Formats: sequence, C-alpha cells, structure tokens
Amino acid sequence: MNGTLTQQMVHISVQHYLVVAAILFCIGLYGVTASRNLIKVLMSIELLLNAVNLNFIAFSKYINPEAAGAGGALTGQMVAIFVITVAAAEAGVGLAIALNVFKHFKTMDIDKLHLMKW
Amino acid sequence: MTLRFADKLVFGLLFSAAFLLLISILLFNHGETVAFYVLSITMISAAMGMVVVRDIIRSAFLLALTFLCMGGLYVVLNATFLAAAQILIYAGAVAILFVFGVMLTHQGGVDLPEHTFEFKLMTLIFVVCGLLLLLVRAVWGGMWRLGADPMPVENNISKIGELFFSTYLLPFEIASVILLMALMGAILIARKEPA
Amino acid sequence: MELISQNAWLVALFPLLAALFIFLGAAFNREANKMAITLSLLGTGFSFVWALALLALRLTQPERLLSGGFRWLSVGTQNIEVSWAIDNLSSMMLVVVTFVSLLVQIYSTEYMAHDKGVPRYYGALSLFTFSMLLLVLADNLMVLYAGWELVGVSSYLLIGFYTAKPEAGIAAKKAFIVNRIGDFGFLIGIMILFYMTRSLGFVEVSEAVIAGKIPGVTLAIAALLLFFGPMGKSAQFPLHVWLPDAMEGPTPVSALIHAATMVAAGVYMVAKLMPIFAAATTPLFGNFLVLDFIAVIGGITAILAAAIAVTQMDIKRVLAYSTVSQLGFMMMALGMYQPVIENNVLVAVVPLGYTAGIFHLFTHAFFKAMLFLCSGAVIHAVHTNDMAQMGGLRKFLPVTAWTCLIGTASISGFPFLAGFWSKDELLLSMWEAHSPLFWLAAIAAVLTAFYMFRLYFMTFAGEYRGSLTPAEIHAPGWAMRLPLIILAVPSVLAGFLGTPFTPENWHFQHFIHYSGGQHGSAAHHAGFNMVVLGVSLTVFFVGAGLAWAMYGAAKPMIDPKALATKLKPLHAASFNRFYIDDAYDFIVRVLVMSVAKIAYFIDKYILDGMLVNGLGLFTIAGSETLRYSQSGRIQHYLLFVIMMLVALILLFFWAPLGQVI
Repeated sequence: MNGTLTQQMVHISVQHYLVVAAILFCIGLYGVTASRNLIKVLMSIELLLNAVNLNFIAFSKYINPEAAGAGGALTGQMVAIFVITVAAAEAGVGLAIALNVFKHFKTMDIDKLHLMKW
Repeated sequence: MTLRFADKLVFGLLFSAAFLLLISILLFNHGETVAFYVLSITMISAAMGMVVVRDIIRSAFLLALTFLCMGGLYVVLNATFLAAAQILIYAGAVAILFVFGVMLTHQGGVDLPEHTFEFKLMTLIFVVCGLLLLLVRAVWGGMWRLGADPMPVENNISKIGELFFSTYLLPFEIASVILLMALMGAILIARKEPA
Repeated sequence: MELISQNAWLVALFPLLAALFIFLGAAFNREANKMAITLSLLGTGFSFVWALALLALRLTQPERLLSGGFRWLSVGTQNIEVSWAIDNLSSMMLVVVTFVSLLVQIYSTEYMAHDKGVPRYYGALSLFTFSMLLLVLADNLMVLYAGWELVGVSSYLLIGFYTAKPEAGIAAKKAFIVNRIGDFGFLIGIMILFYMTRSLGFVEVSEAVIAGKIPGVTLAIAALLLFFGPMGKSAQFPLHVWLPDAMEGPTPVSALIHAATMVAAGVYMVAKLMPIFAAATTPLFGNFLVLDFIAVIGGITAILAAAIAVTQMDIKRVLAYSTVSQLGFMMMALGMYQPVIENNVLVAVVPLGYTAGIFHLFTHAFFKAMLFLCSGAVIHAVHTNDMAQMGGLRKFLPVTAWTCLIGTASISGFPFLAGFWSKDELLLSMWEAHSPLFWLAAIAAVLTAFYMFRLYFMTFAGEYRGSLTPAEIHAPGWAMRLPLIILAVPSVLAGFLGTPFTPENWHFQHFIHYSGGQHGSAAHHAGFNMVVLGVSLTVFFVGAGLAWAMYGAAKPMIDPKALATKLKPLHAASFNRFYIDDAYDFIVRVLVMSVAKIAYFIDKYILDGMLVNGLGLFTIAGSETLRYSQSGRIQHYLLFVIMMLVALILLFFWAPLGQVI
C-alpha cells in the first residue's frame, strides 16, 4: 500500500479485509481456548470459519481472474459456499454431541471432561 | 432473557446503522469506505462481546449480530448471493440452533464458570500478541500483487449456478452427501436411547 | 635319518601328546600314577632320542637345513607364520633339555612316591618339556613368545603343586606375575620390531636389522624392551625375587625348571637374538649400549645373589640364589663386546662372550640340576630344609655326598672340572673386553665358592645336629641315586669340550659361535691368559678355604656366629635379602593399592553411579515431571499448540513475513 495514511484508509484494498479476518480469527481462537462452556466453544468455532470465509471472498473480489483458480473470479465465493455447507453440518453434529455430553456428565463445563488425564 | 431498555436501544441503533449503511452504499461515493468501517467495527465488537459476555444467550445473539454484519460485508464485496446465503443459513439457522442447544442444556441465565485469570492471560498474550501481530504483519507489510481492481461480476447467481454444474460438480454432490450424513448423524447421536 | 630331518618338529610333539593323555587320564582317575609315569617317560624318552639324532645331524651334516613352517594367519597382506628351525645352538639345547628332563622324571618316581596328585605332576612336567622344546625350536618371535609363556604356565602349575600349602600358591602367583612384568616389555619390543620390519621371523628381522632398516634409537629401545623378558625369566635384578620363593615347589621341579632349563631360556633368547642386540649401536646415554645394560644387570645380579646366598640357612634357597648368581654371570658374558670404531664413530660391535655364556649355560645345567637333586635326596632323608638341622650326613648318604662334592667343586671352579673351564671362559671374555665388571665377577666367584662349600660342609661334614634317629634317616633308593651318578659325569667331563687344549673340531666354540654381523665373529682365542688363570685359581682357593675354615674343619678357625655379630648390619642385610622383597611389598601395598583404590572409587561412584545410574534416574525423574502436563483438558493442549505455532512462525518465517507477495 502506498500513498498517505488517509489515502490508505479511504481506499479499501484487500489488506483491510484480510486484517479484519485475522482479528476475527484470533478472537475466535481466544474463544475456543478460554471459554469454559462447551456451547461457547462451538460458537467460537463458527467465528473461525466465518473469518476464513471473509478471506476467501475478499480475494474473490480483488484477485486477477486469470490468476484465480478454476472458477475465474468467483473461485473464492465457491469455496466460501462449501465452507458454509460444511460449517453448518458440523455445527449440527457438534451440538448433538454436546447434548450427549450434557446427558452423560450433567455439566457443560469442559474442564470437568478430563478422563484422559495421566 | 428480559429485554431491558438499554438492550433495546443498543439493538435499535445497531439495526438502524445497518439500514443506513445499505442505503449509503447506493447513494454516496464513499459508501464503500463508510460501510466497510462501520460493519467491521460492529462485527469485531460483537465478536469480542460474544466471547466475553457471561450470559450465554446474549452470547448467542451477539454471534447472530456478527453473522449479520458479515453478510453486510459480503454485499460490499459484491458477493450478493453469498450475503443472502450467509444471513439465511448462519444468522437464520445456525444461531437459532445454538439457542436451541442452550435451551436443551439449561444453560440459559446460568452464571457460567470461568478459567483462571492466569490461563486467560496466557491465551490472550499468545493469541493476540503472538498470532494476531504476526498475521497482521504478514498481511500489511507486503505489496499484494493481485492486479488492478477487476470489474465486479454482475450476475452472481447465474454464474455460481453455472460453476456448480461444471467445474464444481463433484464438490457439490459431496456437499449434499455431507449434509445428509450430518442430518442422520445428528439425529442418531442426540436421540433418546431406545428403552 | 631322512625321517628325522623331515620331521624335526616331532621332537616337541612327544611330550605334548604325553601331557594331553596324562591329563585326560587324570580326569578319570586322580591317582593313575603308573599310567602317568609311563606316558611321561615314554614321551620324554622319545624326544631325547630324537634330539640326539638331530644333534648328530647338525654335527655331521651342518649344511642340511632342519627347518620348516606354515602360514598361520594372514591379515590383509600381512602373513603371520609359525616356523621352527634347528641350528647348532638349538640342537645343543634340545639335548640338554630332554636329557635333564628325563633324569628328573626318573628321579621323581621315587621322590614323589608318597605324594598325592602324581599324574598332575607328570602331566605338568611333560607340558613343561614340550613348552621348553617349543621355545628352543622357535624360528619366529611369535613361537618363541608362545613357548615363553607356556613355560611360565608350566612353572606356575609345578610351583603350586602342593595345593595344601598356601605358601606354594602364593609363590606360584608371584613367579607368574613377576614374569609377566618382564614379558610385558618383551611383548612391546616384539611389537616394535614387527612394526618396523613387518615380519616376525628371526632371519627376516636379523637381516632387516643388519641392513639398517630400523632407526638407531628405535632399535635400541626395542632391544632394551626385549631384554625385559630375560630379566623376568632368568631372574635378573630386579625381577629376581620370584626364584627363591619358587623353591616351595617339589625339588625335582626346582632342579629341572629353576636351575637347568627354564631360567636358561632367557640366556638362550639373548644369544639367539644377539644380532639384534649387537646391531643396537645407538647408546642409551653416554657410551652406554644395550649390551652394556645387559652386562651391568648381570653383574649386579651376580654379586647381589651371591651376597644373599652367604647367610641363608635353607638349603634350597642357597641353591636358588646360586642359580640367580650364575645366570648373572652368563648375562655378563653375553654383554661383553668389542667395539668397531671407524672415524671416531661406533659402527658395530663384535660380541666376545657369546660362546662363553652358552658354554657356562651348558655346564651349569648339569651340575646345578645335580646339586638340586642332591639337596632333594637330603630333604627326602631328613625331612627338613634347614641346614642347621643337618650335618654329618656323609655317613648316611654316601652317594649323595660324593656327587654333591663333585657338583660343589665344579661350580666353585675346582681345577679341571667343568665349572672351572666354563668360568674361566667367562672371565676371559670379560678380560678381553677390558671391562671393569671383571673384578666384580671375581668377587662374586669368591662368594660362590664360599657359600657352596659352606653348604657342603654344613650338610655333610661334622656331626649330625638334627633330631632324627639314624634309623629314621631314609637313604635314597636307586631311582634317586642313578640320575645323580649320571649327572656327575658331565659335571666333570663336559668342561673338556672348551679347554685351550681341545682340538679345533671338538671345541665347543667350533660348534657354537656367533655368526651374525658383518665384522666377523670373535676369533677363537688359543692359549692361556695367565692373569685370568691366576684369578680363577685364587678365587677358588680363597673361597673354599674360607668356607673350610669356618664350617669344615673339626674345630672352626673362625666362628660364624661371632663374625655375624661383628658384621651385624651386613649380615642382617644379606639375611633379609637386601630388603628387596620388602621394597616390592611397599610398592604394591602403598602405590599400586592406592591407585587401585582411586580407580575403584571412580568406577563405582562416577562411572557407575553418576553416568550410568544417574542417566537412568534422570530419565525417570524427567518423565515423572513431564507427565503432569497431560492434564486431559483439551484447552490446555490447544494452548500448547498455539504457543508452538507462534514459536514456529517466529523461528522460520520471521524474515519472509514482511516480503512482497
């Protein structure tokens, strides 16, 4: 990026979106690691996936269509669609497992799930 | 959860801001910039709130807000079909799914336990100072040679449809299989054991 | 004759077979005496006949080669051979060894009749005979060393024969260990020679040495180290301490091994390797060559041992120190040389005492063996070694007394007996080399005559001082008397092979002379040397006369006890063997043991404790600590992963992170 700071701030380029996606990714990562509730962890995972989606779609707008993959300029969006699909499926199954955990352990506290301890 | 006046105010303002944004994109030349900044900041605050807030129902709704802002960003990026899909699926289904999960596990309104401060601090340091700074450095430092801003693709949906049945046919079919598996799997896992 | 010359090596095989069969039989029956004796006598007997035939061959057909060998081992391009050869020196030694061995075995049939474990004894004797013959036959440093070690083993077995006596075991150990010290130097010397000449055969090494392929200093060091072997085996100072203790073994063993044959192996080896010693013309320091070292060690040994023998009361100990002293004489002679100087530089030496040394070895074998067998008869008769308990045994053991007198006279240098001629030759070689050791040898000879006649008088003359009744004094039978008589013959006549009057062809020197080197051997010196002759005679009369005055006359003219108290410090030093054994004890106890203690400490606490056990303990402690990181909680693991991810990125991708994409 060149030009003055204002110019950089006004003219949105791919880097802006990438930085936003990075921030979102790190927030999601923090959530996965530091949340003690299982459902909160699952929600944070969705955040991670969304950050990735943003990345792909940002690239799909700014990339050279010849340099992009098989789908030309829309490659990123295609990948993002599939990510959404899989994320939804995973959310469903994950919640089903979480329900089972609750049935078994009577708690959603991850810290209590340490059967693989030394 | 009771919707207090403060909550109503906040949510109201947020939604109006969203509406304004959508208008401004069409009306003003700098609509893109304004839209980008407002949407990003909202999204990031909502995400941070989601992680930090102690009541899990509020977390779930803040997550829905994140999804909505994300949809808005997709519109700014000219990915109209995906914006619709995002809002339909994520904000409309996944977030509700989480709410249902909270309901079935009786976590709503419950004061959730937290990790120790030291653990959270460690995570914060490594994730923020470590990973975030590295990623930002990676992204911001370089000159991304991607070619000049290309012309935006107009007819998104038909193009995507074409691609689904030509280049991406196989992933399309597999995706449907995945969805079927998820459906069956979720039912199987979560049902009551037959007596 | 063809059979014998083609299979010369069989001379060593017969006793080996005998030994094997004896040990095999003894495994089944511990007391199979007759079988053992028969086999042993047969084996040695055959060897004796074979050796005589070989000697005859050497005398009549000296141009005929009696040698052979085979390749034993090849490492890469290096061949290690086993080879044997019989030259004049070896053939003479073969006869001597088999002859004395045979007589000793006949003698032992009666001497050991009341002992247990006789088959073991004869097996070891046959093994010894084989080993000594192997040593003599060797044409190769490796075979020589093998024979060397084997005689050491046989000696160990025989010294420690009386397993019921703890002193015997201790003495056997001492003999072996002291020998080992010498053998260590010997082995290093062999290794240096092998490294330099890439060969172990005597012929090749001698040729290489004479051709000057080995640098002077290396050769001198190698020769010096080689001499350590004879220092141990032939009981030279300071490695002489084992021989007196070896008297714990049966007396026939002492006669065979520690008088006539094994201890002579060192002298034989120096003679056989004389080309190497003669070629070592680089002085160790000053003008002192390796040969000088040999002579000086021989001289010290001769006078030291003679001085100790003067006060000993145990009959076998006197004879043991006498042997040590006589070996010292032989070494002195072998160390005598005539330097060849060209342009003020020593280029070669001509050994002068080669024949004299071997000649004395030859005669010494006979009369020393006989003396030991006499002492054995005496011990067998009165059941004690202590000369204070003997006396006047002439009446009871006449044959023994006569043969002992002949032996004593011979060793002391009584005119015309064997010892006189051989000792004369020794002194002559020293005189010709203008060596100051001549006077040392003379003094030692005086002491020799003195203590030998002291032994004779104390044992056989005077009145019996012991506690046995005449009926209990058990005179020896024919099996013991016959070897004594047989040995008396060469003790008297063997000397006539080496007189100035002997015809050229019959002379010992004609048969055995130094033939190596480029400057020719010492010419056969004819005629008398009046000085040497005078010294010899004076020595005899002074020594013998003094002994007669103190011990032999009816009324002693000089009281031994009074003399001892007057010369108390000298007497004490001599009686205590000049404290050399105590010095060794100190060295071992203090020095060796402290080093051993340190080594033990290091081994136990540092190597074992710290390194080996410590490593194991460290592993256990480490793993017990690390296992607590497995908390079972996913989020902890995830945190580790994030940490490591950040670390990896920092480590590997810091530089590329800011680059143009």
